[in-house]
Amino acid sequence: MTLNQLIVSLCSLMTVSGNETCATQELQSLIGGAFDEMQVDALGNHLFIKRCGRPGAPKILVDTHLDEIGMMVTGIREGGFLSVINIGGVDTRILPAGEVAVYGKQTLYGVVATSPVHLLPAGDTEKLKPIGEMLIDTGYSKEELEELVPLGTPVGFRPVYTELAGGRLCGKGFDDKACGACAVFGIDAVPPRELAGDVYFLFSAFEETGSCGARTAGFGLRPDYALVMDVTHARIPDAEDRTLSPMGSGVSIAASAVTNRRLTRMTAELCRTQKIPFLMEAEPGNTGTNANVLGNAAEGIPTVLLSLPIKSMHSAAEVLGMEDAKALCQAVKAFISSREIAEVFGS
Amino acid sequence: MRMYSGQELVRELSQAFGPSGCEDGVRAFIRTQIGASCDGMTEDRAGNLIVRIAGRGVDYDPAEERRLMVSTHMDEVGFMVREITDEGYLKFSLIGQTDPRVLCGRHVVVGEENRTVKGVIATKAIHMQTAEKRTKATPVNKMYIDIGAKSAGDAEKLVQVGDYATFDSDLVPFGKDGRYIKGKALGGRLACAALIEVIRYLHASSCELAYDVYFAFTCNREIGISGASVAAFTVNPTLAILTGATAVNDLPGVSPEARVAALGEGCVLSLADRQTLYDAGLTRFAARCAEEGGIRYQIKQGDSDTSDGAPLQRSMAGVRTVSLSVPVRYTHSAACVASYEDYQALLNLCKAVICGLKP
Amino acid sequence: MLNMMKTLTACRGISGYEKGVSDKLLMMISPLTDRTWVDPMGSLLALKKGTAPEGERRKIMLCAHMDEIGFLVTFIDDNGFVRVTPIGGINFIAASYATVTFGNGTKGVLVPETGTAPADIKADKVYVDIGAKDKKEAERKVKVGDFCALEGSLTRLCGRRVAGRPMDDRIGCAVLVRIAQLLGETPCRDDVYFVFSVQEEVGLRGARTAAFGISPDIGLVYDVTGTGDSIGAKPMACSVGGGAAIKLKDSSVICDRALAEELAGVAKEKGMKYQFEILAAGGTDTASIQMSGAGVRVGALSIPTRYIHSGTEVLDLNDAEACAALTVAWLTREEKSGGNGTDAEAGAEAE
Repeated sequence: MTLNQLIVSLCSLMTVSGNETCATQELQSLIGGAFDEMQVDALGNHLFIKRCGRPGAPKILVDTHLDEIGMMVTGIREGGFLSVINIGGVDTRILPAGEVAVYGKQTLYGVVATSPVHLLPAGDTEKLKPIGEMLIDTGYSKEELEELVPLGTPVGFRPVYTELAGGRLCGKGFDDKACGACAVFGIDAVPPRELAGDVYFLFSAFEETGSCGARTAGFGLRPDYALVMDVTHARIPDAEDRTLSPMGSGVSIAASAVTNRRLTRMTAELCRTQKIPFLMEAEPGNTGTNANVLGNAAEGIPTVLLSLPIKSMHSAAEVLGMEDAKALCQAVKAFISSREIAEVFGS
Repeated sequence: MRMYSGQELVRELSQAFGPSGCEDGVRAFIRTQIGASCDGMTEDRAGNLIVRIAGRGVDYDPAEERRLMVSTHMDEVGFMVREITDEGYLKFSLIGQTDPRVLCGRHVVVGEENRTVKGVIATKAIHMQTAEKRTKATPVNKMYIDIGAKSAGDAEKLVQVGDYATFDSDLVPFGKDGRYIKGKALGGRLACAALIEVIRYLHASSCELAYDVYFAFTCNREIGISGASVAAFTVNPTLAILTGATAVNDLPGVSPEARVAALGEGCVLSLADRQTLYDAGLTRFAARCAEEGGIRYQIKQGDSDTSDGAPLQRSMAGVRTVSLSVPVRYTHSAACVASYEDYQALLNLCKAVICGLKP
Repeated sequence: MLNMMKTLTACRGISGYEKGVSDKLLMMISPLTDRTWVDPMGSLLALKKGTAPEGERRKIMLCAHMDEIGFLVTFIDDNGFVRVTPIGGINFIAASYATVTFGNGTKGVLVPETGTAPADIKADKVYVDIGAKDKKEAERKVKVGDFCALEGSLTRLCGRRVAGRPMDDRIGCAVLVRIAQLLGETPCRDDVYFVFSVQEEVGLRGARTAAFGISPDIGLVYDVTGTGDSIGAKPMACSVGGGAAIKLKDSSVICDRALAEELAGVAKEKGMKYQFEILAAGGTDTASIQMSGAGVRVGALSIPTRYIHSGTEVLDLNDAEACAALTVAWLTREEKSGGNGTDAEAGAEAE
């Protein structure tokens, strides 16, 4: 399977926060083969272990989150409409007339309803309804929906993937399963004896709702050091106020107070010597990722944060650059094989 | 290495370079100032410095493993270089919550502990601003640091994206008999100075200690993702004393019920802050220690501010926690103002509470 | 249940000062359990040991919070008026012109500054008048740092519905005691930890440390939830009298789906009234328990309540009884082959 195919396969899985275990079997068959062992915990964290074969080797955590933003069905309305609530930070601007998948007893197709603009009072066209007032049109009757869609049913963006020019890929769920695919590729590329330690690849749960999964997994696992990978914002035309990495410039390495400065510096040096394209990105305080909670888990876990720049995050049409994804695979590979890092941070 | 005490110790700590995530300089300085005056010193994986003074005396029973944690933070607010412009100016982000209004025209130090350059936060001259803009605070994304570089290439030789910066500000005693002091980072560093003096005192004196006392100098408080939780996990204390500063608003025109606390009125006992309700019993005990020892104290009004109380109190199965602090005006600026007498009250009350606690 | 609620609504215990409630609950729960203790945060814990042999018992944590919303005294002015800061999510319009009680029994009335528009009634626009002539007299009765809360009450309405305060969450505490009573008649195999938590209203604090101490296999929370059945309420498929509300989500937590379905399955099988709950605004201790230690599978059985955080919260005691009955049915259900249902499967994957 190519990296491109693995990204699409993983990202098209429905893993709206709270439903991570719905993907257990697919994950096992898609990526289980690259690891020695798989575990699922109380919160739906999926842990994949690849051992280096040396007793007492350092425990290296590689974290990307499995869950994605989405919605949850809260009610069934007359005429075959569903009301929903957001799970994680859903951008309501992209919802009207958006296409969704309703993962009930069977997967239903749905469209987010919107009123014709010329029938609205002047001024209302600029207003957005809160998500709790939006409706999903399913084409079924209320009675049929009551049978097919129990309350609490997850709703996600319809998975549709397209290739744009220049190796850019467009679709839903790149946050953060695209990083997951890169991690698997990077880990699979290193033969066990070349690993600097035992690699614990954590596909964590509940990141979008407050990093709960990484918090508890970090506490339970107690790794020696950790690599967190998440998506970041790539530069777009109307975001001049923030300095963002242009797409295609490789991996973003975060400079932040929540990550370990020495580990960050060593990782940047690793990329420099191995000619892996990267940029430093300043995220002084809150990084908005699992790095926030892993650094302070239990007796503290030295953590580095690598990011994959994407556009239109949390939408149904996120865009990523395959050259950046490939750079991320290389960075994972270099990180988990680095004896220098294991020397300094291994217990 | 010279050993400092009194106001000189406060001065050295205030001027040490230590924004959140880059506390190495402060930590190294505290280590040298404590030196051998303790029963053990360790650094945990989050960068917290933990100093131990062993319990002793009739009430001390090593089998009970009673631990008292006394905590303050080492870090200060600051800036991080976000981008180097083509002309060699530095765009930056804030580390911690600083009011953008206190930034324009301030002197700063950029870099890391051993590689620093001086700079100034520049902004457009008043003549070049529209009448409307003159009355509005400049947002941080419109500000830049000028380090004197002529070009991006010139600047990149001195700094890089991700570098830290802090205010460059001296310590000035002022007012009648120099009772007030001005400096940067007074929030945590006054408490750092107090705890260093307390450690020296406990080491030198023979007072009884019912608890093993662990002093924690912690990281990352200002960004709100505090290292204190890691320190508390490592120490696993029975009780905790949180020290630090209370931001006060004791200015003319502010109604008496909204001033939080007042400069010169002594050590502040907190009942609550935004995230923590402190242990009522321990707080009553601290007030009694102050009354018996003739130490000036005041009760904080309301529950403003956040602190490391939350990570301490909610560590593991929970820790009974009390908060003792120094009132500070204009916190998170280059010119924090505190009263030296309040500082001494904190120092004395810490001593009294630590020695007075019985199981 | 009614008598229990009369007792529990009569004690005052705002967040951080729960001792009054804790003492009452200790008297109620200790005869029904094997061991009781108070943790460093002040939460009251009680353990009822299961009948299964040592090592085969799971740890089930049942949790309800003792604290209620209220006020902390911040300042006493020269005229003897008392300024307060809210502890928890106070609805100031509901609290205005109401009698408050201090810890030492002193009474006062909470009033807005004269001339304040209703929409502007906030913490800094209200004060408590305790009837003192001046600061000196006031300070003899009340000190900075004292707490007060709206008076407790309980009124019977139609059927088994009641109005009063603080239903949130004395009703959950009452449900826990009821469960302990029922378990006395039908014991269960697992160890059941009853946790009466502190400081829920100010950030779900007590349950977190209690859960860390216990490290349970499963956590269940009993608290009030909003409903969609009052006039003008936002649509919500949950109503007073609709039975135990099995929580799927609130703004702090997404519950363990398999556990929620397991509870619904038991209710269906036993013909018990239940409904699902998705609460758009409001958090519960469920979140803290889920995130404690290495993570805990969590669920919640909520008691549907109208006008939460006002002086008159309305609920149906039958819903509370349903929560207790469903819990006991779930705890004591016949083990299917293979033991603990979905839990055993999750366990197998983890091994």
